[in-house]
Amino acid sequence: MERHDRVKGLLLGVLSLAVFFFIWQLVAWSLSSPFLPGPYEVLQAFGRISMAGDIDGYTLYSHSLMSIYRVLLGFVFAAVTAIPLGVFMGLKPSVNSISAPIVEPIRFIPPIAWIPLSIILLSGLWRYIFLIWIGAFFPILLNTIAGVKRTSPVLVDMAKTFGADSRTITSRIVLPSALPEVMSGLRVGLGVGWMCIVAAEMMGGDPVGLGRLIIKYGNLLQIDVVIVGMITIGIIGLLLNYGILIAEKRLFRWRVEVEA
Amino acid sequence: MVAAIELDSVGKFFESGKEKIEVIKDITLSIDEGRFICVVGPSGCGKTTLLRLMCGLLHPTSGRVLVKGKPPDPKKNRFGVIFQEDSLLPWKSVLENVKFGLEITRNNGDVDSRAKEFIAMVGLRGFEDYYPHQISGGMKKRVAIARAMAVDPEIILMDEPFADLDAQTMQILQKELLGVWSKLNKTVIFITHNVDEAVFLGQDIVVLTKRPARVKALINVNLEYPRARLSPPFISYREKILNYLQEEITAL
Repeated sequence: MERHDRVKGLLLGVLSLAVFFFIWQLVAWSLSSPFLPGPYEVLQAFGRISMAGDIDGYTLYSHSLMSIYRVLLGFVFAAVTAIPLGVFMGLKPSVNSISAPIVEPIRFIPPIAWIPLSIILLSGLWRYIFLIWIGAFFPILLNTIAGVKRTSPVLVDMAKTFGADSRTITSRIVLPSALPEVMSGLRVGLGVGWMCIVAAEMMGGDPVGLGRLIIKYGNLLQIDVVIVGMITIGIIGLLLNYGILIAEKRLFRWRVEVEA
Repeated sequence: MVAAIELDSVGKFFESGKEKIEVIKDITLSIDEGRFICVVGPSGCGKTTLLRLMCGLLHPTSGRVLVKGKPPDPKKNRFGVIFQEDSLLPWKSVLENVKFGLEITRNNGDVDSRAKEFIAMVGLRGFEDYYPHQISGGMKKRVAIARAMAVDPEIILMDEPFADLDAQTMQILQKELLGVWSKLNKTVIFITHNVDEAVFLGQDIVVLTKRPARVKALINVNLEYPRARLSPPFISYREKILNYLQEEITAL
């Protein structure tokens, strides 16, 4: 029964993709505009950029690698800043009251709005890191706070009755029990950070990066390559998300919800 | 001899907003080493607060609580507390859970083999590597008991530990608890709202009033273990306590 459902789900997925490409092809035909390539032209562009590279000679592979490198750097910075701050904010109401008025409004400023400031204040790789950091930071922070606050008071009491001090309680009760939430914060944060890649690469003069590829070919009005860049970003984002999801399931087998 | 636990006109208030709620009023009680004491009272009367005062999780507003002559401090005393709720660490195996208390309370000795010994004592040999979500509610309680006993506690405090279990599992665990207690000879404070359970387990039964809790009656259960639930003296103890509780509930 379960197997049957999975086959059915897979078939439906393939079917819906086929319908999507079919409609795309139809729209491209009926418009027959040089600015809306059909799936086949995009596929050709994909082959071209993968094999021969773009106008500067960089292949799709090196664009992807560079973007992943930048996003991972920004993501790591976001993780090492957001997790400790989140633990503090979750544990101490006073730290929360101090940081909330600063952190809360910043959360609603879109990463793209930071571009002018980061161009003025930062240079080189730091610009990319900063913009990705801004995107990835808040999901990680908010999930960490929520995870810490959701620590079961019974477990804390249990540790206290054995004479555990607050450091032991934090390291052995609060952190492990917040870990699943922190992990899903990391997953969402990585996703948001990845989505900031185009904005981040709008700034630099560096010709490599998937965002750069899109901007470069957008300026040349070669939309087929633009779409290649878009699809690549989408697929890599999906894979990153899936990677963390698998890690989550492995790590948190003790969580009944994850197992089910 | 110094009493295991002494309560000297203990009172406890909680403040919630502007309101001051009196939970415990003037309780004086002395519990000797090695006794099995059951505390019963109407629900919401402050039984759990009393237990938390005894292990130093809370401090009295007035009066004093003494454990072996000194105010309780979990960092100095060794308590074995068993909670009503599930208090196992879900990310740790049965063995790691039992080791948890040992690791915090003592730094030396063979933690591993001592933990295994107590797992075997509660009948869970072979389940060392299971995780809490893989075992039943009754087994989780046994793990909690093993964890508490393994630290060689001076006092065992149990807060309605079997309340969430089905009747059969509850009776089995009650018998096993008595077996463990007779072997280890520890002072046990057992909180319950279940009169049958109190008469089955306790050498002495403290009946509390409705909130603010005071001691309504102190009853010595003069019956041999194991006690027969259907014997006439057992039933008459039950009736006596039920009557006390009835008075409190109807007085609401």
